[in-house]
Amino acid sequence: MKIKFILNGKKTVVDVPGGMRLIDLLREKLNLTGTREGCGKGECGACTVLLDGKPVNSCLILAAQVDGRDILTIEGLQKGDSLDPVQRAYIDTAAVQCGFCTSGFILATKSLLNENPDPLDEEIKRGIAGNLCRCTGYAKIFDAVKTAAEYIKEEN
Amino acid sequence: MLSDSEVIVPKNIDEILEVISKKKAAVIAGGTDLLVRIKSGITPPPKVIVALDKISSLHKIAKKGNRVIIGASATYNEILHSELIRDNFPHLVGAAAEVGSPQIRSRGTIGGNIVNASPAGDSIPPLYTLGAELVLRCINGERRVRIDKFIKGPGKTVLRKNELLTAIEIEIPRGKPYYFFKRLGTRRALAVAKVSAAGYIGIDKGIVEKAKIALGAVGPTVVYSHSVEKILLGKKLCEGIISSSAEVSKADCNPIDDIRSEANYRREMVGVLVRRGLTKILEEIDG
Ligand SMILES: Cc1cc2nc3c(=O)[nH]c(=O)nc-3n(C[C@H](O)[C@H](O)[C@H](O)COP(=O)(O)OP(=O)(O)OC[C@H]3O[C@@H](n4cnc5c(N)ncnc54)[C@H](O)[C@@H]3O)c2cc1C
Ligand code: FES
Ligand code: FES
Repeated sequence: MKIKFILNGKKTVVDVPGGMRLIDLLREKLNLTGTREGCGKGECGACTVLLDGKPVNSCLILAAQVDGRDILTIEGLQKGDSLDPVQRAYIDTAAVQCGFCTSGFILATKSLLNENPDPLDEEIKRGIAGNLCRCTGYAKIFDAVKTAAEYIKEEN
Repeated sequence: MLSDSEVIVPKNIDEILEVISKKKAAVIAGGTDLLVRIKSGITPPPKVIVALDKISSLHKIAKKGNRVIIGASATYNEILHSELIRDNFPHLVGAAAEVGSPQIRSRGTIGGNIVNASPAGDSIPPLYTLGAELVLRCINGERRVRIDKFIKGPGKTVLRKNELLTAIEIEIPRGKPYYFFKRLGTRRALAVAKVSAAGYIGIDKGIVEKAKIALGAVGPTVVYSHSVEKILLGKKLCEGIISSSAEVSKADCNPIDDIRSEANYRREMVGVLVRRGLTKILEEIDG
């Protein structure tokens, strides 16, 4: 079936087979491979994208379900040549090791800070609770979220 | 590709009812149960999948007279942000807040939780305490079934193939109600409940005149703890009554050993959760 949606700010029209998941549409049909598949079952968050601004697991949505909606993937986060403050924060705090989980964490962080620009430690934990990282031990990711909150404040 | 299912995304409810009356189709709301079951090979890929995504009326949470009506597609996030639910049924908000992760709370729906009928489904014990009524529609009309009559076993309900759950209706209790929801999981996020307990206590002139206690994940369905209800009714809530309630609640469940926990542990923890829940209510009454 044909679906129309906004992908990273651009109107997109594609033909999708019925049982195709959003993650397959992104990675295989549209070559947006920044979105990763870890578990395929909603447990790891590597496939996180923002649907109308809210974090969702793209492994648990059919492509047909996003018709008419707005999707933001990691590829759509930077503005022109400048990285998003959340992306800069992850780099500056060295919160990335193998990087497999990073796109998902960055998007979860983005939506957390959109809703709550000044999260308490407990709120940061809740905000990234749907994302797993096997490398960093989370301490640096925690720093990245706090740094991102600072960067966003400085920009405003 | 997950499957070669045909996927239909109708624009109104009638069209959905039409499709499910004619074809053997699986309804998909948030997909957080259905797609996991297909991916894991537990559910064979359906020939036809009908998505509720375009039916915005099913997301509505509204008050009508002394009832609150929750659309079946209301997500956990929508429940968490609804003032109506927060003001009237804080234990349902408490349960929604415990679900999965931000990602799951953005997509998972209360209707999906009910029809999935897991004994560990977090929205279900609070809905039992409220005697929630489910509105089931088909092309020929609608019927209403109370939640405890709707769920028959793990994954089993009285929903017919041609029926859609459209709404959950809850009567707002009169007087000053008190509520609790308590749950234990292996960790705080992304862990299905090992044991949960929800309670609604109505108090009139210091005396318990209504009591509903529901226990989750300790039997094939959520169950009422009738023994606790019996102890509480007609009494003034106090530490002694709470201790006896915690003790008798353990006999009201029929837990199993599984990968998440053991039966004995679950039975003990039912007592602990009932004690914690009632203690919280006592503090609110005294506070
Ligand atoms: C990682 C992860 C963590 C989770 N954590 C929790 C948790 O902590 N607590 C918890 O309770 N659950 C949890 N779940 C399970 C799930 O998210 C919930 O049960 C959720 O409420 C299901 O809603 P859904 O809309 O996604 O259901 P779907 O998958 O869309 O549907 C589930 C079932 O209900 C049927 N259905 C849905 N809507 C209707 C309707 N309106 N009429 C008729 N039939 C309908 C579908 O056909 C399907 O059989 C978790 C799931 C995942 C993947
Ligand atoms: S790949 Fe989607 S949550 Fe793991
Ligand atoms: S950096 Fe390797 S999984 Fe997170």
